[in-house]
Amino acid sequence: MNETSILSKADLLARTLTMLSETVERYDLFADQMDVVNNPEAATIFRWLSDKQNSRTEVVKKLSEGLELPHISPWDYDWDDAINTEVPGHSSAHYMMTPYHTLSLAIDVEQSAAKLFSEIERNAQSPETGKLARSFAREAKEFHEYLIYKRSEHPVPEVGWDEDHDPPQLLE
Amino acid sequence: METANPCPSLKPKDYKSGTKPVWCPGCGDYSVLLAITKAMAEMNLSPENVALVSGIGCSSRLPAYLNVYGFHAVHGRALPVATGLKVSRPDLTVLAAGGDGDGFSIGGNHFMHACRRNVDMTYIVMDNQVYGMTKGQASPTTDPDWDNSKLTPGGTKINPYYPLVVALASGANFIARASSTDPNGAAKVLVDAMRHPGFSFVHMLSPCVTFRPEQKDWKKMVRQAPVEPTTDPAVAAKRLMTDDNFFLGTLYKGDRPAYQPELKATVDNISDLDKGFIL
Repeated sequence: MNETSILSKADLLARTLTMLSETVERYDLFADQMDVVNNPEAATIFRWLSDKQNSRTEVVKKLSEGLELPHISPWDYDWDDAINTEVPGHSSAHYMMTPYHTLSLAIDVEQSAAKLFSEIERNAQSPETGKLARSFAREAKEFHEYLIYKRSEHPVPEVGWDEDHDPPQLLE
Repeated sequence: METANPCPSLKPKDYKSGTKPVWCPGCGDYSVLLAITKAMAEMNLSPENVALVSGIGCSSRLPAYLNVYGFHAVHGRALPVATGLKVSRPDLTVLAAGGDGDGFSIGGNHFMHACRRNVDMTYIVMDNQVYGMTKGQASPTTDPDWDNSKLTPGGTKINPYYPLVVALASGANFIARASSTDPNGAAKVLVDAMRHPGFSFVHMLSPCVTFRPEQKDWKKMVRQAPVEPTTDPAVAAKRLMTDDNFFLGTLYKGDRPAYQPELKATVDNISDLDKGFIL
């Protein structure tokens, strides 16, 4: 997302809604992928993350009631795997990822979102937009801290965690 | 943006079929699917007016995951099927899709002639430089020194195929590259490709995380081409011949008229059709 282009409350809400709903879809997709590869631990965490983000999406939807939100084309968001991680990239998933990795992925997402909203607050062109961005940044920071706590409940993966003893390689 | 739709009535997820993809976690094709749905939503296309034809391979599973008409064709034969569909139903938005093996090896000859015919459709090739579905063999775009397959010990030692150069030389009317690492940027390229008349070729970099895990680094290597699309084939040729395979964006926009034969009236019954074959 290009923080310099956030001009109004409606613009900020439109972009935040897209960002959150795409994150929900991505976590759901990752959960489905983990089901397919028989990684129920990661699948459960992704579903929990999806629920959490969905609750935040509902809050933003409520804030948007009565406002006419602008349509923003996808390419005007400027986020992708390489530059921003407010929405987790498709390439972030690995079939052998552990709960530690799963929560680390979400920690990166929240850290990136908090940074983005703080920048929007700094560059906001109206106090109303700034206040809203500040509240979004605070929310992302709080969730970020909670995720770090949750991650501490899981062991740090050992070196070679992704070593597959039955690799999908052509052996013949 | 010039290609923006003021207010699409359908959302990207409305173009998804609900069938869950079975690609490997981390596969670039998920992003390509997302980019296609975003492009369709931006263009406000009615799903019943769109058809996507694919070949065989991991990426060719696309039609099952979309809520538009789809046809999962024979290996390498997405383009002839798509061509037949478009010339008989010019009202449809027709896309063809597949991988680098399907498009440039098994279907390589069809690729050249589809470019030459210049029928108004968009061909998306998801290039991961490997045959993934058959568990990791070198494809036409694989580097000569890639030796992770036991079928090609020491690498193929053969220069890779340059699809954009072949597309230009064969007459494609629109040539672009996009990357699954940037689905939003890819959506824009796809919108431009679908709107441009004639045969549009989109070279889509889409890493295979299972058999080419090193391709995860592509996201650090891709960058926007620092040039505007050219309409001059000579300029495009120089551009494509010096391309390092990681420049993104629309690189060539030709102005050849699309091929569309005059449609014959539909026959009323099968015996009328038979008469056409009587010597």
